Amino acid sequence: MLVRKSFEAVLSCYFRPIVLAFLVVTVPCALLKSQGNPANTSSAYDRAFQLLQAGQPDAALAEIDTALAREPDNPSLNNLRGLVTAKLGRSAEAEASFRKVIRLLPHAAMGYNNLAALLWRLGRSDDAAKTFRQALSEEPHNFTALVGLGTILAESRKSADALPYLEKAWGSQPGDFQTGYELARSLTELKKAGEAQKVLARVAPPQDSATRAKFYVLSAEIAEQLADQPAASRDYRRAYDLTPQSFEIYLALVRSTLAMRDPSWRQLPPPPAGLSPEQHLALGVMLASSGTYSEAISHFQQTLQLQPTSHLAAYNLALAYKEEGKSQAAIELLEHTVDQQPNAELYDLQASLEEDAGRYVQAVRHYQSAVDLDPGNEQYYFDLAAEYLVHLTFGPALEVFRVASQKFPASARLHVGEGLAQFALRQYGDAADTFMDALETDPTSPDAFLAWNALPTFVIVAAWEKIQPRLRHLAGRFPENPQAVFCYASALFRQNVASGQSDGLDLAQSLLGKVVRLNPRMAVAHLELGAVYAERQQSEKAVASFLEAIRLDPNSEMAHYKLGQIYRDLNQLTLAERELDLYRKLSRNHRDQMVRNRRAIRQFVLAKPAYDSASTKEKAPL
Amino acid sequence: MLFRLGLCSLPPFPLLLPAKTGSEDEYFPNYVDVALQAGLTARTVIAGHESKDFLLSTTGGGIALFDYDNDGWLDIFVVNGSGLARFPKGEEPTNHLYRNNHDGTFTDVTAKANLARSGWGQGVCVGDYNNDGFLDLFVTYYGKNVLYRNNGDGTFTDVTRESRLLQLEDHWNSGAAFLDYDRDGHLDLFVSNYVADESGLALYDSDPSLVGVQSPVLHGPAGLQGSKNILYHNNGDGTFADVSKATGIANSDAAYGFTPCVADYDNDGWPDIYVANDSTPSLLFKNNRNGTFTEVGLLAGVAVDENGGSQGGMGVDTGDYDGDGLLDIIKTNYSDQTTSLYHNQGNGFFSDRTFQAGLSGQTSSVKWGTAFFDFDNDGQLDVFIVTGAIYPPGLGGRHGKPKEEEGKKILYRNLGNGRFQDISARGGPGLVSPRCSRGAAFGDIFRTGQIDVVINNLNDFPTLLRNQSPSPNSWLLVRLVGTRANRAAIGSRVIVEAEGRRQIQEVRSGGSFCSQSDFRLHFGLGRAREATRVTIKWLGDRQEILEHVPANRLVVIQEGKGIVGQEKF
Repeated sequence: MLVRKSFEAVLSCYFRPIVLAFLVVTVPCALLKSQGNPANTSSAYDRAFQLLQAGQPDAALAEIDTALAREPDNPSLNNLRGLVTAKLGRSAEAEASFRKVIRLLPHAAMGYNNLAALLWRLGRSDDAAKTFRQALSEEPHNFTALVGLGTILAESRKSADALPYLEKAWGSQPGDFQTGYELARSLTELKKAGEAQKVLARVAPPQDSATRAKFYVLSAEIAEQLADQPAASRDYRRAYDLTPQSFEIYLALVRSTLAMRDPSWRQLPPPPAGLSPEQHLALGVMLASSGTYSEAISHFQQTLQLQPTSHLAAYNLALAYKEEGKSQAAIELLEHTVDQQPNAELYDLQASLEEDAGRYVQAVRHYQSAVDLDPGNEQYYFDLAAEYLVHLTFGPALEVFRVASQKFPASARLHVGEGLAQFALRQYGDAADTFMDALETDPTSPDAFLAWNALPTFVIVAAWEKIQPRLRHLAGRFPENPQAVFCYASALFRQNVASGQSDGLDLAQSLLGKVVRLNPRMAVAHLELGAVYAERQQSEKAVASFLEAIRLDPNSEMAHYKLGQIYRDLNQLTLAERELDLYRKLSRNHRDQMVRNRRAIRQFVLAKPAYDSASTKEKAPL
Repeated sequence: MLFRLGLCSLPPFPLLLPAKTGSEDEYFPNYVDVALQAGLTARTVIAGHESKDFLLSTTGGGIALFDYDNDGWLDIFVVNGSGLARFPKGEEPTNHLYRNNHDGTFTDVTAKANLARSGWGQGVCVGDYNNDGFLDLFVTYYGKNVLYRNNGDGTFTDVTRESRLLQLEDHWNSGAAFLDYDRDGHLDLFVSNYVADESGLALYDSDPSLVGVQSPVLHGPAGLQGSKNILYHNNGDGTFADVSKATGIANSDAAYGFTPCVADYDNDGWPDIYVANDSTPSLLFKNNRNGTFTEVGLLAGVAVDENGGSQGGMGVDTGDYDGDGLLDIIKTNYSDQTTSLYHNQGNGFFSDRTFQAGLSGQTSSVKWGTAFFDFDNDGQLDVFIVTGAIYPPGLGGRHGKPKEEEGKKILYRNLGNGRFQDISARGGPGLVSPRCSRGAAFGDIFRTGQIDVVINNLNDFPTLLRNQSPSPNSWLLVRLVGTRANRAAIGSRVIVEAEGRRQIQEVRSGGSFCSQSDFRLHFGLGRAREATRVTIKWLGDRQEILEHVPANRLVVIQEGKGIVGQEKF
């Protein structure tokens, strides 16, 4: 688990979607010329426009300003001035010019569109979108406004909102590259890869290599969504050939190629030259996540060469070593690294490697070091205590869990661990209390529920006075939580049986009925309900409940046994024998498994009880 | 006037009032350990050194109450163990036979009786295998079992070899019981086996010298090779033959057997065999009445607990605790498990009524020897259980200090409504003194009309619990002598009716935990002055009925002859 988590954390930094941002800059010359300008103004506009196209914006601006001096309210000149000043980076002047155009032609989309494009380029997306909407309110079918608004919304991760605008634009100009691209991208974001692929198929890849590369990237992303890894790999490869300096595209190419799970990854092109340590690390994590450890190791090593203090590289390199069967190399690497630069995460990994290697005492020492270095991390306490617990070293396990539970009271699993250690030490009343703590901390915790239900009935009976109010309160606090209600109902039933009372049976039965309504798939609830019916001599109902419990959990020894006993009492001996045979097989398998588990366990021998409370107020034992 | 008449109609009150009575009707026993005063001064040795690193050093401890010299007083046989360390010559631990001196004391007559023998003794049972009127001894060993023939002159002879009971290979034999499974009048022999012999010395726990490093740990018997039980047929000529396979006894899965308890569970007149198994399902061998058995424990509902969980079964007894004429089963289990009470439904099946009967407490100790018995003579069977830690107090310190409750005795009073009440704390000082107990045997040792208990304790002296609080109730002690049935009448049943209540008991060999209780059947009669009817169902279907048998006496009933002797005490 630790390994996977680490890889995912690193990868998530690199796999944000690759975004193509198209600026909407339109030059609606034809529209402007059709506004009925005087001839001298028109010639000034043409000259200025030619100067602009010739790459002389300053000269163009001078020409425009001269003309505007003569005719300040000419919309075409003001619009062109906005475009020129925008190109010169004089955004405030450009915005003023476009706003003047809007004042002069309030019912034409042009001014709005150009202002919106400017605002978007300035990063004022909301203002830009608002302005495009104004354009559309004047000209609902304006193509530029439709594409512009759709693109802005898509860029803002509002693909569902963008879709109607882009589809409308696509409907009016099918085959337009930008519209098709943005529409396909939005559909891809919405996981409608099939539709996206159809749209993209209708646009031709542009000649411009950068845009063409983006086209192939989108095509590859669509193919990935469609689980067509060869197509994805092919298109990423095309994109990478067009932009061999792009690490992001290379990473995507590697990912899609590795996903093909065939030797084709060996034909991958080399990565871009001069990768940074972070990029080597990301590539290594990518390769390691796909089980290509030897190549991953190379990248992790290069990361460490470039950045010797990278504990993340050391961490992942050690993991890759381990996966390559070089555990000793991993341990040595970690030893060396923590010697230079102690790090809790590395100690934790080192401990798990020592544990795997069967060196349990070293493992526990490293877990302890992780706790010492980072006492604010619940995971390290848990790992340390769990290490003791799985090796049946219950005293220290209890002490660590106890200290950690106090430190992290919201951690249900620490309470569960503490309860398990108490149970193993035969402190049953305490264990029941602690499991209650876990349930109260998180009544949905599967571990807490499992632990509570593993308590033998005699513990519940003995601790009844103490736990009954807490159980009742828990069920009352979470009346719709089947686990919370079940715990109370089951305990109530068992206590009633053991005390020879029957006044709580109705309530227990009713609560268990509620539990199976809340969660019809809770096998243990059906089983317990069956037990209640059996106790009340309602054999047919008991059979039905036990059958349902078995349907939900065919491997329940208890359900098969109880059903067998009920069938027996109903004199249905063939059915009884069948259930008991199943029970016998399950029980035998379980016993064999237990034996195998126990044989695998190695217990620590502690030199002395070094876990007195005084020494463990801040530190865990050993 | 009526009040006075009532008093006058009652039997004389005892001189001593009950030790502690909460109310006029509430009687509590006062069990006091009188072992040392009585002369039970030999320590049982099971280990021989200060640590118990092996599974073998945790078992054993059988004990027997029987009248070996036919003087009418119960004698005591204590099974001893051994150790890995060498003992000085002549100082090896041996079993002990204590002869009852009739005055509350005993004399160790082991050597005189030719019973001195060292080895890893485990259990014991008694029977008259040659029907000569003298009770013989069978002792199980981690090694090879031994059959001692009672010579009738106060001595015994090891006849293991000539009786063909000498085992060719070592076994971890545990409990044993004589029975006449084919009702031919000759006692056969059932021997249960624990784990495979070679596992006895498997490392049980970490060696303290391995401080700081890891070492293998053995967790009880789980994972060790199990064993199969053995049934020997008595050929009637002083020899036995192993019929385990032919009778189907060997058909069951290998398990970790401890104590057999033979009884007619289905009231068909043929003895069945129940075996309490450790960590594996217990077994019930149903007698097919044709010389074979079928194992039916799981279907019968006596193999596991009410949830189908296997238990660490140790000791076992059977008795009709609810007076319905059917023998129920009580089985003691490991610590952290309840005792099991299996109620006989009368159709060959049982239901686990442990919790319903109020027996869910007392889980902290490992529970061993047990019996249904009537401590207050009220006609309702109570329950006695002895407990003991795996590791005796003071030994094996690294295994953790035993809990305070460990090693105390447990006494449950039968409330007469299907439930029991734990009165251990009010049963006298002998119950609350912690010991590392194993086997227990029950019988009227001091001829007081009440049941006493003798207990074998590991690495300790035995416990002899004498009830010093006389019960106000009457009793009847019945000794059966078979003629067509086997002489010891093992397997024969007595039904006593008094005060409108019917009680059934059977003469039984073995039981408790690898131990032997008195063959004489003890019935509490409440306030009745007589048993209105005593029915004897001899093994073999012969039946005799006696009426108006006076209370407070031992009656000897011989098959076909009725009462041939009685003694009031």
